Amino acid sequence: MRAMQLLRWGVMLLAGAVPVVAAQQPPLCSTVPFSEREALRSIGACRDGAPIIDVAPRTTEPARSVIVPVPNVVGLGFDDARNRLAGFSLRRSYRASAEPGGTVLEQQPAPPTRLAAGAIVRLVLSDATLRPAPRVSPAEIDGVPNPAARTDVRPQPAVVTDGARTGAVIEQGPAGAAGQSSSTIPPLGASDRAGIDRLVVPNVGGMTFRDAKVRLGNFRVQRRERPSTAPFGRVVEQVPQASTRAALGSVVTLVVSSGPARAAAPAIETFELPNVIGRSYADASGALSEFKVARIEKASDAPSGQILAQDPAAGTSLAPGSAVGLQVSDGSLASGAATTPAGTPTPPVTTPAVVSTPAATTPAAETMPPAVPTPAVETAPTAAATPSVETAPPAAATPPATAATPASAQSNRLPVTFPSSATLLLIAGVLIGLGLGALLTRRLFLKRQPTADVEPPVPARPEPAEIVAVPVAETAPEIRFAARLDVGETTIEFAAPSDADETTMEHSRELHE
Amino acid sequence: MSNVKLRAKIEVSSDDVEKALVEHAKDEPSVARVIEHLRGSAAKSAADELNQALDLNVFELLAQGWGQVLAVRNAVQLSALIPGPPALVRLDQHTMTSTAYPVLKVSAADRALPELRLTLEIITGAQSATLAVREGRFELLALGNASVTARLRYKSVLLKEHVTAVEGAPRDPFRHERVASDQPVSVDIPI
Repeated sequence: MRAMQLLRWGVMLLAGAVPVVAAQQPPLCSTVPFSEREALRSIGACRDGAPIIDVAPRTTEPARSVIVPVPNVVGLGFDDARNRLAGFSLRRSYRASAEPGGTVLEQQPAPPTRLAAGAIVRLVLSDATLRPAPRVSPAEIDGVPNPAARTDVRPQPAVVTDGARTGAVIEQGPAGAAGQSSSTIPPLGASDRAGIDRLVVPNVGGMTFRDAKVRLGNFRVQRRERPSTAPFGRVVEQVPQASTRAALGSVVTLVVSSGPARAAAPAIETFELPNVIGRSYADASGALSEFKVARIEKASDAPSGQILAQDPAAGTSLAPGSAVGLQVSDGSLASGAATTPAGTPTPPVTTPAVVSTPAATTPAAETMPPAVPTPAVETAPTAAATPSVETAPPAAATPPATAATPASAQSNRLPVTFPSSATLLLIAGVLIGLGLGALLTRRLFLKRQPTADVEPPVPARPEPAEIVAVPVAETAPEIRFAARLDVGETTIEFAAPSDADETTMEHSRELHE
Repeated sequence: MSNVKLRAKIEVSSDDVEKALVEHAKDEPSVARVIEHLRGSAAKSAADELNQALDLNVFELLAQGWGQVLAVRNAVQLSALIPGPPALVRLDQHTMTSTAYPVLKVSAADRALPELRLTLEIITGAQSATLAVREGRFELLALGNASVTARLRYKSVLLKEHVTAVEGAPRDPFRHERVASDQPVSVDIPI
């Protein structure tokens, strides 16, 4: 008998199923008296089921607050800025500017600030309501293309004001501040009587892009697309916003829905198996409504209908519809548990681990459908098989009649019973045979090794001199270049003494046709 | 005017870049460590990058300088507000000095090295220039005899110098001979 036990443990060890018992765990509830069981269970002083080795995390870890640097998005379009600031919450506002609509003018906080993920970053966007500075148009001089055709007219630090006559410049923006480059012309504002046409931007939200374009006939319309819950082709955003004023012909950017975002891959939903041991079968069936419940009656001293064991154990993550076996007391031994004959056989029940082994083909397996492994378990099948085998075999190794065996008594996972000693012997024989075969193969291999050394076919080894001769290739670092041009100052000096004398301005009508 | 060539291209060669990088390495140990990897084909690609950055329109620099002149500014402003024929602004002999800084960013094995900052000086001397300004723009230009000198330096080391002489237009190329039928037109400039 002892030899048989040793043989069983040997089989387990060879199968790689080394029992792992979690340290510092409370005792099994099945080891405490039934009357105290519920009380201890409620305070967590005892546990149900065998130790469970999680092969898949039951829940994802809560996201830790990560401090990340805020990227610089000034100058980018809002869509690009949003992508780069994906980890943050965005607040945006608009400001009149000549930049294309939606261009980020400012951001707060500005880089190189570091913020926790999800923190608020405020963006000031351009509404494109200001007219950009005019550009030089193509022209020719004496038939030669004018090289100045694309020259921007920039310098404008000063403002000419003379009363408030029509058309006179009454303000400039931005003002000629010290920080303003002297080589840029800011856009000019004019009096209302003869100013630049500025129109109210109509609201086109929700319209189709074609209708919106018709309605925005006084503006240049730019189209951008973005996934949205709005119907495809409908305007979901406009820049500048409705009711703001924009220059005639300025750009209005319409963000059009490109339909709902592509659905993410469906998440694999799993349920954590509740603990139903000790509850009535009706309650347990209700609690396990997501699963297929297989009932196995067992003679027990517990009240009839009470769940004695469940398989898989509580806490296991299972896909909906997976099979769960419940061992239910029939109450037949309620009055005479002590007189139970030692040899009373317990109906063999299979565990998932056993199901995956040839033992699953035993008739007993028909009484309880094998638990369907969860997808997570599938990803680590060896680990999945481990817990069941670890805990179940002690119960299986000891016949149910030997109730004094602690492993059998304490485990409330369904006991694993090997079909017969003959199977065990067969498996042991196969394993021993394999081991002997491996030993013989190794010995043969070791015997051949020296003969191979004696044989002349020596692999051509490079001569040491050759090794020295071959230069070791130095791994050159990857060199990259990028160039830009920072424009500096431009100064002009006249040969003539004063500004008034050195230049003259004439209106061409005085001189030309 | 047919010989006017204001878009003077300033180009550097790989030798110029190597020369600058060697000087740069004297100040920057991190560059000195990889200087051997920056020669040859690497210097050639660096020169290509720099030449792209140097592909600037000299006329833009000239326009910036002319825009600083009070009379030109006034003419540009007025023409932006008052539609009409172009206003002519004649500038007498003047010299314009523009400075720009071509910057070469170098990274070795994804590690950024100190930038190579060159200095580009463009000195333009013009005997005269006449600008036609309309609708807030420089519409036409008649540049008199002029010379454009471009100097590219790294610190005090001269890498490149390029001089372009321009045989310019007469002082007022737009002036027509008056004929008897010409009538003076009064122009109201409302300022």
